[in-house]
Parts: sequence; C-alpha cells; structure tokens
Amino acid sequence: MSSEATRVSAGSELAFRGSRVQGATMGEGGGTLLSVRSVTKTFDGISAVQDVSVEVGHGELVGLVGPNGAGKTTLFDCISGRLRPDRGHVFYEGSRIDHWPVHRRARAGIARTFQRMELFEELTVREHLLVADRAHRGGVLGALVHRGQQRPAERQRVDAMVELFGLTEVADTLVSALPLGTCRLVELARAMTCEPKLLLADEPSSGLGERDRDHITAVLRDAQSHWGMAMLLVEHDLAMVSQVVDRIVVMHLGRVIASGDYQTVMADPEVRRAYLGHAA
Amino acid sequence: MNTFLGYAIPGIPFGCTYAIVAIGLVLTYQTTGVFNFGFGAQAFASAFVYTVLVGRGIGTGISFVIAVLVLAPMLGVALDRLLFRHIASSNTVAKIVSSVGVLVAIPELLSLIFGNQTRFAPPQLFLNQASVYFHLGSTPINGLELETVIMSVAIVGIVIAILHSRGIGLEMRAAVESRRMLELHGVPANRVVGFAWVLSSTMAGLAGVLLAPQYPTLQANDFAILLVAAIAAAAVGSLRSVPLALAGGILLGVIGGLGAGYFPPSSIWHTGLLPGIPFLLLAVLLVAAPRLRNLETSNDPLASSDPPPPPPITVTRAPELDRLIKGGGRVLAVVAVVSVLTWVPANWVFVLTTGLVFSVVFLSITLITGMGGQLSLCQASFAGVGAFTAGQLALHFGMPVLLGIVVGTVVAGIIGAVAALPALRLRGLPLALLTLAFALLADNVAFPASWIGGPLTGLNVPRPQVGSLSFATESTRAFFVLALVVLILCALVVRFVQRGTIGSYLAAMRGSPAGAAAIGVNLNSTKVLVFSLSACLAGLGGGLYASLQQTVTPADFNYEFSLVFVVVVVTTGVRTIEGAIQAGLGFVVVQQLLSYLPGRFGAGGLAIVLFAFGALTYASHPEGVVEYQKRQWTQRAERILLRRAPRGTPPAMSIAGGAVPTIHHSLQPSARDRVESG
Repeated sequence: MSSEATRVSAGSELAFRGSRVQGATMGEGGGTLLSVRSVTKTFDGISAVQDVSVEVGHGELVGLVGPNGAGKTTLFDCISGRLRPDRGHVFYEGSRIDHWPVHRRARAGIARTFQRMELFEELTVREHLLVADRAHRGGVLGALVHRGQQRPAERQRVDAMVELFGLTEVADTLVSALPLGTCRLVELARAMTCEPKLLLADEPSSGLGERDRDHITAVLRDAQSHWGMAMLLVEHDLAMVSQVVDRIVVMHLGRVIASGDYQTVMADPEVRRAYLGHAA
Repeated sequence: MNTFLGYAIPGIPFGCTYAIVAIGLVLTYQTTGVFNFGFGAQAFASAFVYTVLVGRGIGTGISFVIAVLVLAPMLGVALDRLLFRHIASSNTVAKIVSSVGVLVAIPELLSLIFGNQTRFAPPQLFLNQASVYFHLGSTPINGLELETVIMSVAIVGIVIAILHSRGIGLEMRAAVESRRMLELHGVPANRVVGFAWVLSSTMAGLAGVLLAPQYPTLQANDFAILLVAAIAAAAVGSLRSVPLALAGGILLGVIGGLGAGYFPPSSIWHTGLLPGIPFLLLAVLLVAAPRLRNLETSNDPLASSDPPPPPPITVTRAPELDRLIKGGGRVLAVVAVVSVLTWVPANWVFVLTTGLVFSVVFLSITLITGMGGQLSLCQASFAGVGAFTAGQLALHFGMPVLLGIVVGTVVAGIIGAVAALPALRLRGLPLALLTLAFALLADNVAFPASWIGGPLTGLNVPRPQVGSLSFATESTRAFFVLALVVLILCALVVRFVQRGTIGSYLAAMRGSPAGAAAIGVNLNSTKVLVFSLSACLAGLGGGLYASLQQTVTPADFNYEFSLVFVVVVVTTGVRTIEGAIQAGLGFVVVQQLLSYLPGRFGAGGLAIVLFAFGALTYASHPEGVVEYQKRQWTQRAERILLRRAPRGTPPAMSIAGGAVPTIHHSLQPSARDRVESG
C-alpha cells in the first residue's frame, strides 16, 4: 500500500514540476486582487469576525492562522459568499462583491475548499471535475438543454486535471469509497478545475497523517507555481504554512492581531501569547 | 371584553390538545431526529379504540386505561423497535416517508379491522360535557373543557419535570445532540429514545381521546388537522422548546376560537381563511424564522460515519444482463400494449390507462425527490391545478381539452416556480413541512372556491376530440394510446434532465449544496427550475386524469393523495424512471385486484395499507423495497448466468490508491469543526 501510494504521490508532483500553464500569468503583474475592508460578522451577539481587513495581491500566497474560534472560517465564508458581512465590504478585482451570491463569485474566479469536506458522494472523481468544469462556465438554462455528453475539450481538460493531481487510478471511483487524503486532493482538484484567480484553502491538511500532509503541501505549492493563482490558506499546521505562504495574517478572537512575513510575525509576543497562552 | 373572552376561552381546550401533540413532536424530534407525522394517526387510534370500547359498554375508566395508557405507549414502543430505531441514521427523506407511512397506514388499518362505518358522537371522558362547572367572567366552562385544560397542564408539567431531571432528562437532552455520542459514553441510548417514544405516544393518545368529543363524528381527517396545528405550534418553539410549543398550541386554539366567533359563518373569512390559519402560520414561520431554516444542519459530530446510498441497480448491473433485461422489458411492453389494444376487457383498459396517468404524476416525484433530493408533499395539489385549469377553460371558454391540459401544465409550472421562491432557503424537513402547508392551503382555501375547484357536484372535464377521432366514443383504448404517448414523452424529458448537465448539477446539490455553489452552480435557479418542471409534470398528469375520469372534485387532489403518492413512489423506487412507471401501474393494478376481495377488504384501504407497509420497509432498504428486490434478483442472476461476483457492491478500499490513506473517510475531522465553530 505504502509503496504504491508513494509512487502515486511522486508521480503527481512530477506532473506539476517544471511545467507552467499558458495563461498562468494571471498572477503576475502585482496589484490587489482581493481586499477585505473592515468586515464584521456577528452571530447571536457574539462577533466572530470584528473589523477585519485583509488584502491579497495577484498571485500572492497568504496564510491565515490563529487558534480555534479566531474567525478564520467565518472570514472565508464572507469572502466566498456563504455569509454576508454585517459591516464592511469585500472587493475583488476592484468590484464590490458583497451582494454577489456564492456561485457568481465562484465563476468570477474565487474557488474554495472546505474544512469539513463538501464532496458529492454519488459522483466519481472524474465526474466531480467535469461538473465543476461545466458549472463555472455555463448557466442553469444552458445546462437544462445540454445532453450531458462530454465534449472533446472538456474531456481533455478533465483528463489533464486528473493526471496532474495523480488521481488517474481512482478517476472512476465514487468519492464515498476514497480515503480522506485522496478526498482532500479531489476537493483541491475540483477547486482548481474552476480556474480560480483566488483559492481559499480551508485547512487542507486537517485530519491527515504526516505523510498525507507533506504530500498535500507539495501539491499546493506545485499547483500554485503551475497556475500562479493567489491563495489564502487557513491552516493549523504552522510547518505547512511556513512552507507555502509568502506572508501570514494572524487572527485571534475575531481580530487581526498581526501580519507580515512568517518569521517576524511568529516572533511577535502577542502572537505567541494567543497561540501558546504565554509570551515565552 | 366579555364577548372576546366568550370567543377566546372555548378555543383554549383545542389549543391544549394541539399543544400536547406538539410537545410529543418536539420530544421525539429532539431525541431521535424523527419528525413523526404518525402522531396524528396515533391520536386517532387511541380515540378510535376508546370510542369502540365505550360503545361496547366498557366503562370509561377502563377504556381510558386501555386506549391511552396501554395501547398508545405500546404503539410507541412498537414503532420505535420495529421502525424508527433502524432509521436513526438514515437521511431525512427516509425518516419523513416512514412516518408519513405510519400516518397513512394506521387509520386504514383500523377501518380494515373494525369496519369503516361512521362513528357518531365520540364519548366524553370523566367530566360531563353537557354540564357547566363554573363561569369564567360570563363564559361557561363545561366538563370537557375543564378536564382538557387540567390534563394538559399536568402532562406539560410532567414532561418539563422529566426533562430537567438529572437522570433520564439529562440523557434525553444529550441524545438531542448526538445519540451516538451518548452511546460512546456508555449510556444505552436506545433505552432513552424508547422512553421518549413511550412518553410522546402516550401524549398523542391522550390528545386524541380529549379531542374526539369536540367533533360530531370520529374521522381520521380531523386528526390530520390536529397534527398540522400541532406542527405549527411546535414550529413556534422552533421544534425545540416545550414551553413555546405549549404557548403556540394555545395561541392557535384561541385564534381559531376568535375567528369562529367574529367572522360571519357564511363569509369567505370563515370558510376560506379560518381553516387555513395553522398552515399559514406554519408557512410564515418556516420562511421567516432562521432557526427553523437551519434544522437540517446536523449537529451530530458522528453524523459523517453514515454510508452513502448505493447507486441504482440499473447502473451497476452487468452489461450482458442489462441488455437482456432491457430487451425483455421492451418485448413485454410491446406485448402489453398490443394486448390492451386487442383483447383486454374495457374495465381493465380503464385501470391501466389510469395507471399510465398516475405514472406521469409520479414522474414529477422522481424528478423532485429522486433527482432533486427534495421531498415535496404537494404534488397532488399541482395535479389539481392542471385538472381544474383544463376543466374551467373547457367549461367557460369552450377551449379544446387537450389545449386546456397544456395550459394547465404551464399554469402548474408557473405556480410551482412561485411556490419554490419561499422554499429556496429550505431543504429536507422544513421544505417538506412547507409543501405540506401549501397542500393544505390548496385543499382548504383555494380548491373549495367554485371558480377553481368547480361546483360541489364536481367539475366536468370532457374527453378530447381531435378531428373526427373522439376519445370519448372509441371506448378507452384511444385514450390509452394518448396517455402512453404522453408518458413516453415525459419519461424522455425526465431522462434528458437526468443524464444531462442539469442532472449532474442536481447530483452535486444532493451531495453538498455548499460544494455545488462553490463551483459555480446557481442553487436558486436550479431549484426553481426543478420545482417548476416537476409541477408541470404533475399538472399534466392531473389534466389527463381529469379528462379520463370526466368529473373531478377537490377531494381527488386532497393532501392525503400527495402523501400516498410519495409513499408509493418511494416504496417502488424513487430514483429511476421505471420506478415511477411501476409505481403508477402497480398502484392501480393492486387496488383493482384487491377490489375483487369481499367486504371491507375490497374498499381500497388495503392497497394503501400495503403500500404504507412498503414505505415502512424503508427502514432496511432506503432505496425502495422494489428496487431492493431488483438488486437481489439481479445479483442472483449475475451469479447464475454469468458465473461471477455481482457488481452492485462498492469497490474495496484497497484499490483506492492516491495519497497514502491513513484515515478513513468516515472519521472526518468533524469533531474539530465543532471546536472551531464553537
């Protein structure tokens, strides 16, 4: 089992390495892609996110860390559209997107993965990617009159994706029969099929063992260098964060308490207090 | 003020009975996750047995003990042991359908056992209904009112005391969070849950016996209204709070009393609005109260350890066998059609034609429940819209009935789309309840209006006439062909939707709405579209049904049919087109065959009981019992014919390679979610 898995994981990294898609330049050129300005969200009087501002540049990798209950997932929900902020605004590519529904944001290039996975249990891995490929391109009425047969271009894109993520062997397996690590890869592949400019990754290593975690870290890094999208990464595993991101933002009890490059922020006494309970 | 009290106070006893059932609903829903529609029928069962026993000269005390303290809890234990315990981890649809099966089966079963003659003047309990005990202000309080209020207050006090006790009460409150977690802590959750069933079933029985003397005759229908009023009352407390459910019940009772007093008896308010108040309240609460909307958000940290449903057998069977079955099916279909057109007697042609028309209606359930994953309990109402539109257009404008049916289909589709709008944010149980409220509103408010449902004697709908071909004179065979063609077209439409891109969106939404939205699927438009299409199919079937029967009344599209339809289709197999067609034909053929039985068994109730029992098998076969049998036979055939292992089983874990599986899917990090979100 383990040797086979190693082979698969090595294969998938190789598939990424050294290649860079055309059009991956969407990340280049700098400038702000996402701007969260003074967002506040309260539940039953408890503010989960309070006056939070975060900026992510094109192609930039930002880690969002903080102890449990810091409001990271709530902030993700405000950005992806699952929740509407009570106060403050979200800007994406210069447009205010507060009132956009989730699917519109997804089509505009904001993709996400979920901490508690949201896979389609009756579909195979390949079908996951196919439905993602279609959904972010066409509307519901178009889908109604479409017979559902794969177009060659679709097949090509999906096959390429399956191969890049090392999912070839399980491509026609139902996701409900797959182990957790593979499911996390499928979710990531599904998100990337939507050709995002911004990937919101919510604890991609949650629940994984060490080897799986290393693998998904490598895949994330490779995917980013392959497509060049910006990424906001929520993760408890600081080792993983330090390997992937350019800078980090630390949240605690709904507020941003520090941001900057990894080493500097982690040396900050307030951050250490929030994480470890003492400044030492 | 005295007038006000005079109207309000008589409403309170009604309100108390609503509240008792409402609290029972809250108790079982909270401890088991089962929203038991069956309580309406359980209340009826106790009232029925009490009436029968008293009628046979047994004293009220003994009858009360037998009906309320023995029968009711036994029924609760039986339902828990035989049914609900096994579906604790099933999906919402399975739970709702099973309890709807109970609601449908019990009254029919009782009339099979005891006969279905009308039972007048259900007996009162201990205090005399005719004597006034005292006056509240100037309002006389009779014995029935007095004892209803006393018993209600007592039982609510008992329930609250139990819930706050340190032993069983604490365990029941823990079972609310997660039954499985409770078990992990060494508490026998089944015992806790069983106790909740005993308690709530006894309450339902008590409510039934208390309510029965308020009506001149004993009818199951009155208890369905009790059920819905209780649901509305429970909704006031967001299906969580016992005191609020009590308040909600009494409020509804008082509103009913005031309405009955102030609205002139013949006004539209009295006949139209008053009966609809519980349903309106329920609908408003479902749409407006955020806590009710979020009922479906599972709090159980261990919820993700449930296996997903297996794929339909038609998808997984071996290709050789698939060809064999499909070929055989086609040959059989052709033989059947040729037989109907040549030698089958006219009454059977009529039966089979009705079956085809039902199949069209049932396809609407395949679409919305099987493919959309949403339970709608108002499909018969949409069928009614189609039927009445076609009938009224023919009556008032002389429109050809085929055109009228098409218009009816469109009207039903539009109403379906409009009805979907308030339902957009709902799924699962809240959606089922909202659609039930729609169905009851249609029954009580819309269809009785003569410009919709026609005169009391029924609305005449002609048979079609195309050129010189009359579907009326050529016996029913011509209509059979018409129905067959329509059914085939509808089946093709549903198959197109199923296999098309929209079908994959629906599969995605069934799996995870959040995930589907995150890849760009517009959940709202997809939902409106599916609702609307499904309403179209129901409306089309309803129009055809009206034209086939030639006379329809609102009773033909009563909410009970919506329930029975769902039960029948789910029993047969809700996820496949052939399931809907088998359900349609099976429903009428079984009824027709049973009608040859002597006496009360031939009255049609037995067929409903059979199908309802079929729905109860959902406990062990969530795919539908017919679908389950098909799987068994297919696998047997594959073993014998092809001499190899059946393919219907899910692939073994070991072939799932990928990224070093160390943790199985079932142990999702949801426990950590809880920490994170809490």
